[in-house]
Amino acid sequence: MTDFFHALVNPDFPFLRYALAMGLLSSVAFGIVGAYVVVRRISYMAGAISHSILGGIGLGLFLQGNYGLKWCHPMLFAVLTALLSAIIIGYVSLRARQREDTIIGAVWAVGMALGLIFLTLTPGYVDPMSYLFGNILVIAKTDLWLIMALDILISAAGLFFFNNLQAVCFDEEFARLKGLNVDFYFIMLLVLTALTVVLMVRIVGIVLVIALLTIPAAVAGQFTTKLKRMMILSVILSAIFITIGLWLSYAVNFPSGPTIIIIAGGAYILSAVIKRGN
Amino acid sequence: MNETVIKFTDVSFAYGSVPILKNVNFTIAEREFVYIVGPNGGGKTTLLKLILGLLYPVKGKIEVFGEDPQKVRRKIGYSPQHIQFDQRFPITVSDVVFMGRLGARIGGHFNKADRKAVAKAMEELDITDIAQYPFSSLSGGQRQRVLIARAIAGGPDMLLLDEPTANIDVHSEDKLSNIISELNKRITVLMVSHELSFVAKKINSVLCVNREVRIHPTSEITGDAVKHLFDQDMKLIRHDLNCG
Repeated sequence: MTDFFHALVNPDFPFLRYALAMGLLSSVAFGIVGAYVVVRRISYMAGAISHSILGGIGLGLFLQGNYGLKWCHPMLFAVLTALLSAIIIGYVSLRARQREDTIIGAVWAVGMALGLIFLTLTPGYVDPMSYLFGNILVIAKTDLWLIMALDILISAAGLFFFNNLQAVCFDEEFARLKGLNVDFYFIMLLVLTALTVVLMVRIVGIVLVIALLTIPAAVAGQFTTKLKRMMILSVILSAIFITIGLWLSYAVNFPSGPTIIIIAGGAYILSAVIKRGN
Repeated sequence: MNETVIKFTDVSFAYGSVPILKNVNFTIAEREFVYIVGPNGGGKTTLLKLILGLLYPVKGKIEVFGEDPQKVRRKIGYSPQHIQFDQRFPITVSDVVFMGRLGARIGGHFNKADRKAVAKAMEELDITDIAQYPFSSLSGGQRQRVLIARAIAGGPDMLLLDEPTANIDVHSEDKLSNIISELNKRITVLMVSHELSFVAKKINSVLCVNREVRIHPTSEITGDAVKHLFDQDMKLIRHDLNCG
């Protein structure tokens, strides 16, 4: 444990500080959006958005590597792909409900397929593993500003529209009768989810995103009777899981993403056991 | 004569090729108390959803407050028979009633007037004590009262109640009858009921809904007389269907 704190304050190891700073900052967005995702039951949509991001990352790397387009940053393309996927899934879900699962599967797989093809076409070797399973330790100082901006945007929107989003998630028909544009709020929820997923991909990777998005909220949901309290608790839990996960991955030299997920999964099982015991 | 608040002109509705309502014509005047009866699957809830603009007629025209139902739906308080919701949704009784106040401001923030209206609605439905209980922990009757409180919290100009008494005990039913009669002095009330267990102080019209809709003005009669009328009419409608 003390090693970890020494490493945190060591000026030669800035990456660990950045990693922890990013994890703690993003926990706010994770907790808020994760709670919406769990109560509205759209974690599979979040999964599809997450996996489709590989297509964007691949395209960005391909354009940078083959055409020297410096501005084609993989993260920029990750954001654009996530938004595009969110809008496609949202639109299909609203217009043709029975096809919802088909389109989720298609977006999921096609995004990954495109990503791997682009990576193959990119000169030099790009290891897809770091995108699939995350590598929080490659975060630079400049990334922190972008992360902070996204975090504030997501959290502010999620809280500002809280009452309307809660109503739309709980009883769509009644929300519609109250004059709320239910379709707009559903798409907004997917867009917020997409942006959150982009943040999460930096920490735990494409494949593990669903777990970090839903487990803190699911644990929190077992102990709260109000959506807002569920959000606060899941923010705290996200921060704890990420901190412990980072520490453990540093201590025993495990990859950071999977370690964080194992911690979260363990806490989920523990909370279910405690809840049953009561 | 009071102003007309609901007007159906030759309205038909079908789910795909399954006809639900056929050539419906009726008008309802301001501050009437309208009782809607009919067998299960006869189209009572469909009729309410047409009035709310949640469904659109395949034929004919519906006017509510002289306008397209969608435009004026915010003026209507609606309490559904039951709502489909996730049993694990973390939400309290008070949160649900507050939803009746939504739609006035961007983002849906509540102010003092909202809190006052919600407190009053909860008091009227006798749910103040359980305000902080999880909605999912309530009994059927308690949930019904919460949904009615949500419907009246918005200060509606018309109230649509879909089987409000289905799970309610006799004591609460009396109380509910008084509350609705009191509201009815100011606003129009349409109430679906399966049977005639619930009798308001006055009933202006009875709508019998079984694919066709018949309206009976009943300004002077209540109780058994009305019940008798339903039974007669139900038989009549069924007979019509059998014959044609």
